[in-house]
Amino acid sequence: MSKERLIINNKVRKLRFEHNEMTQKELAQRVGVSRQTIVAIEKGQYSPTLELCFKIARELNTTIDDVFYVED
Amino acid sequence: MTYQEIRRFASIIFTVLVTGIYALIVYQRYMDGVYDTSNIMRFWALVILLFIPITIVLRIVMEIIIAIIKSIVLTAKGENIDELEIVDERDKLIELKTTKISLFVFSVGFILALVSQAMSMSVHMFFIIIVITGVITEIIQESLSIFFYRRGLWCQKKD
Repeated sequence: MSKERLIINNKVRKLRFEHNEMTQKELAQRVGVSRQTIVAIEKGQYSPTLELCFKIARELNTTIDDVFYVED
Repeated sequence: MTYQEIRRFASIIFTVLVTGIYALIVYQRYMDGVYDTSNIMRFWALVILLFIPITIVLRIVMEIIIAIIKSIVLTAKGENIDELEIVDERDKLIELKTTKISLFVFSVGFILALVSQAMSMSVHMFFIIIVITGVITEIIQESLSIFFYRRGLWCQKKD
């Protein structure tokens, strides 16, 4: 079993801007978290749960693979 | 500083101040001979049992004051007050991690208190160590919360 920790990045900020320049506050309200949590996600300081990942992808009208990716 | 960080910082100050002032008052009254110290266990039981409701009441007052200040500041900024009421998964995860660590710290302090008794020290020493451990545990837990809120739960490479 590999103990290597995956580095997961995201394009939340980029997709947010592309989605009618949605603000962090708007996205946070739509997915039910605080704005600080969205900030932490975008900075890579917090990896959201699977449920939150799906919610974010849904609000950004895209798939979870387009939002979150593993960095090699 | 975010609202959560301010709350944690206020909690640290509150714990140190309330415990310190209460300890000073108890110590002064002890030296003045106000307490019946023939039964040490009873003395400490009364001290701690009285400390609990005092702390609860003062903490409620502190939370009310913080809530009032928060409302005034947010209203002045024109922001939504409800946003800060959200306790989301990140808040719960941080609380879980800090609670786990603080329990370990308190366990160490409790063992030290037991060691003091194994070394035939005064019973007073046992309770003093427990109280100090409680304060240190609270400080560590809130400090870790601030650290996790500022630096994140883990750091990853950024784009």
